[in-house]
Formats: sequence, structure tokens, C-alpha cells
Amino acid sequence: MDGVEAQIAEWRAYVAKSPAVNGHDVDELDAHLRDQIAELGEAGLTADEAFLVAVKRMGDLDTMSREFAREHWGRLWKQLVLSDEDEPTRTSSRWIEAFVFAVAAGAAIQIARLAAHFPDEEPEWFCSTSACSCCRSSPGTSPDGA
Amino acid sequence: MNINKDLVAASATPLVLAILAQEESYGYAILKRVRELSGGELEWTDGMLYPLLHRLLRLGYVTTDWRTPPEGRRRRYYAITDDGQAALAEQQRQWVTVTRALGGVWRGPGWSPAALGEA
Repeated sequence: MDGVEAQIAEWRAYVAKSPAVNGHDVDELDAHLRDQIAELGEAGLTADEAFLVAVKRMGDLDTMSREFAREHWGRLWKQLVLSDEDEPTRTSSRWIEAFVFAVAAGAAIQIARLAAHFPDEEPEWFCSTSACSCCRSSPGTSPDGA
Repeated sequence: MNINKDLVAASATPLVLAILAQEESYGYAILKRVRELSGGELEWTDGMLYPLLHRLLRLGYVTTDWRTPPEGRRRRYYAITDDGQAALAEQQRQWVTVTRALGGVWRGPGWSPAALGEA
């Protein structure tokens, strides 16, 4: 089981890299993954197998991150300003800088959306894992491959 | 049967709201319920449910809180709000209208039920 814990930790770390996914989201996705692993385990899969299937069902992480970004675009600029630090450090002198980055980030998102022909309303992601090109090879096998 | 992607996306919000209207729930259980209700025909990419839930949260259609049952893991539960109930009722009206129209034409004269069976 330790092996799976390490895999889950690795997966968590990879998910957490997305600036649009916050700590609560990672916890929520983590709980989902563990529920799925537990159920597959009860169905007879080994821990490793259950992990791989659960990760596959969760879907392509880049696609998921993009959907989180569409919903939580307001989180993105903070990442630009605060670089890799987890804890926000607010100083008044950074306010202008933050604003400039926010505007730039907003513009970048719109450009990206136009470039990718994103629709504004309905997400495109509700495609089945088996039938859709958005689900590439399992990200669980090489989470750091990107 | 592969259900059209647009149709799956369009039905996602009313399905989630309707499931939450029956009882409070969390992501994993919602997905299981969707599979049950659709006889396994509606397959969502699991991780993508969460941006949808967060959108419903932003719209004020659901509320959320973290809970840890006595012998379970900590999970984020969602409950439908009055606004969510109203949105669900509106979606229901639209879907009933659409399915009634389709049902009418499919049962009408000149329609071959065999074609539907083979579809």
C-alpha cells in the first residue's frame, strides 16, 4: 500500500502544479481518487492496477487543468505575481505590478481561448474516457513526463 | 452507444442538480449515481465533474462544506440551494418540452419503430 501512497502523492503534486487548482481542489480530487481506488480494490484489482484505472478515469490532467482555469481564472494572476510561493505576501508596492499582471493574464486567457476556439458556455470535456481524444496515455505512469 | 458529446455536456448541469435535489452528495457519489441512472451509457471524465460543481457553486446553485464521517474519509459535500432548485425547474421545463416534441414525432404517423430499435 506504501507504493500506492507514493503514487498518489506524486499525482497530487502534479495536479497541484496547475495555478488554477488550489489546495482544497487537490484534496477533493485526492478523496475522489482514493474512493475510486478503494472500490476497484474491493472488485479484486491490485493496488497498482486500481491506481492506474482510477487515474485514467480521472482524465487527462492538462484538459482538467484547463477546465479549472476556465472556472477559476481569477486565481491565475496570483500565480504570476507570487511566483512559486504558496503563501501570499501582500505589499502595497506590489499592487501596481499585480494589476499589470492581472490585465496581461486576462488578455492572455482571451487570446488562448480564441486561439483554441473555446466556446464560452458549455464545456467540451464531458466526453467519455473511452471515446475521446482528450484522454491521452495515462498520466499516472509518468506524471513528470511533461 | 456513444452519446453525442454536446448532448452529454448539455445534460450535465440538470443531472447534477437533480441528483443533489434528492440528497446532498459528493463528487464520487454523484458520478456513480449518473452511471446508475444512465445504465452506464453516460460516461463522464471523472476529474471534469469538479469544475462543473465549482461553477454551480459560483452561480449560487449549490453550497458546499467538508465533512468527515465517523469511519470514512474527508469529503466535500454539495447541497442544492433555492436558486439551484429554480434553475433545475427551468431546465426541467426545457428538457420536457424537447423530449415531448421528439417523442411526438417519433411516435407519429410515417415513423418506423424498427429504425429506432436498430439505432
